Amino acid sequence: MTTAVTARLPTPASAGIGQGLGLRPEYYHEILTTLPDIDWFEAISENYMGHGAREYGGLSTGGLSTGGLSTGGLSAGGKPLHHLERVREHYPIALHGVSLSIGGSHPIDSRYLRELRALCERIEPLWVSDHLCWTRTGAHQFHDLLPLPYTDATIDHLAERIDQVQNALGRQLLLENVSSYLTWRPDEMSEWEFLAEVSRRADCLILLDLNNVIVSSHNHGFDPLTYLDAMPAERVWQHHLAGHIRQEVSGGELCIDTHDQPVPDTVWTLYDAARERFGDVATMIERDDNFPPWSELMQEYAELRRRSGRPLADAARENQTPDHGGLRA
Amino acid sequence: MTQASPAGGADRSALMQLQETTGAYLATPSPDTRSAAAEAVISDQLASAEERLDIYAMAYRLRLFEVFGGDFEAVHTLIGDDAFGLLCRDYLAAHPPSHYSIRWAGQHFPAFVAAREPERSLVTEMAAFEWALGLALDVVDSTPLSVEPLQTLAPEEWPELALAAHPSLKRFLFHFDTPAIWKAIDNDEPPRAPVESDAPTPWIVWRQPTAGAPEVHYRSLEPLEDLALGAILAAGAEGLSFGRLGKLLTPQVGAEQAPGIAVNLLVQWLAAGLLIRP
Repeated sequence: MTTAVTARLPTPASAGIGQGLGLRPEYYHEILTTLPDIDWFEAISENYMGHGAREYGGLSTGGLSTGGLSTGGLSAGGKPLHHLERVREHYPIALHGVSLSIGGSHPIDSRYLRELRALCERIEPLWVSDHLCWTRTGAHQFHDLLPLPYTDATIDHLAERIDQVQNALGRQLLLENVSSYLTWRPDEMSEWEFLAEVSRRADCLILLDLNNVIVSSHNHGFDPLTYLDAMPAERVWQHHLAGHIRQEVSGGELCIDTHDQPVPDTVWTLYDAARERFGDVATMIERDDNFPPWSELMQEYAELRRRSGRPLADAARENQTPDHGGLRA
Repeated sequence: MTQASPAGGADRSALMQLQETTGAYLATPSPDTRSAAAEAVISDQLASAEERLDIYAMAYRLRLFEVFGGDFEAVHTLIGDDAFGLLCRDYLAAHPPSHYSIRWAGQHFPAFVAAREPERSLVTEMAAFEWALGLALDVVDSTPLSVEPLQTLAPEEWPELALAAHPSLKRFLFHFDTPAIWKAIDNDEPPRAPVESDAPTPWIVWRQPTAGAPEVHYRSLEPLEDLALGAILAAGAEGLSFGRLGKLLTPQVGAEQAPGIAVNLLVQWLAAGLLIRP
């Protein structure tokens, strides 16, 4: 059983936090010089942890984009923490990890936990999230979000480790469903049953990535709404929205989670369905590669704000019927 | 903390076995590791177990190759796509990532390159230079020594003033005009032959604080400055006293000139943020 010494996030869920964007080095300048109307940002924890942090994109299957070292002539793109702290002066930040390896069989890296905790003390994040997956075996870090077998024993294993992490951080953890391309033979239950049960048994929270639900539903042939219906609504604290690509295989196409495309209609539609079930959950657009111009990303963000019932002020003005003072033909 | 039951222990051993077998295929793809990993994966009409596993194996490589390509962009340009791809493949096999941050995946790359290249090699120098630029950018913060506290030093305190190198400061000896080649590549200029010299040129790389974002700088050193900065770097965390610095310069420039030259160098270094107080 878990020991309840972690700080509980207040309910109801993350309602009222609003809609965010992934903080990526490519957009630091634009963000810091224009201070756009964005409710919060999500930063990749590892980019700012420990000595020698350097910025890389989030983990998706299409490959990682490197950033931060835009050493144009004699001027570098900037030291990661410097930028994070400048952004933090103006916006709430959620921290999102990619290397915890909560489902690994190795001992949890105590240095990782120490450095993450130190970052939390410095940034005071909205919350801390990572992925429901494994990323390493022993000393080998794969830097990938590898799927777990959905078994009761895995849930027990996870519950112990999540307890350890939540105690070390002094806060509840949000865990994200990952995109998957394979099904393990030992599986005893569906992914949605597994995720829901992990959250209950470990008393953790859920970051429900709707793009990953769409990707996995295609790759494994299930109905994404079945997935949503199985989620314990009170534990769903955040959504990710992103894009993906398709890759040909022998029997058709697999969806590959690349986070390098605009949010497709299928994901927007699932977002609308998620809002019906979970309400105004904090949601962000996660772009990790093939970065569009800032204005393009903001158009996508404006769509997120529109669908969540809080249109951006500029967009609202543009959508108003112009008043021509009775001179309309 | 939950006590693992004997049955739970067996199940966890199965989980570890599955992860080890999958990891073995990702790290070392071969027909044997592939078929061993595929035993735990279900094939269906859409794709076979092997095809599904291959997506992960491919992603592992692509992701790290992309990181190496970003960290060593000029090395990539110098040797071309094919050679760089082979280099990355061999490097990854020899040095699989172990740190939680992908930022460190390339930490052994310069030494790995050096071991494959001739003793004097532009590619080796470039790998070391590029890694140093990255390190300088994000090395731990340390407040550079500034002019202000020195203005209140009494004359008798000056000889004992200890000077240490800023953690971002690194010194190199290059036989080629490696930084200039790097700059040309960074500017997308047409390729040109490097300039080689028998006597190596000392260079430094460091991070300079600015009013805005910190900046990484590099420049070459004249022999006298190289001697002085080299001594400060060699003194490590304890630092070198200003008095010792003057004595070091004396045989080169004479006792009369040494203090003035030491002061000039110090002023220049303080402005650039090269020093800290130990």
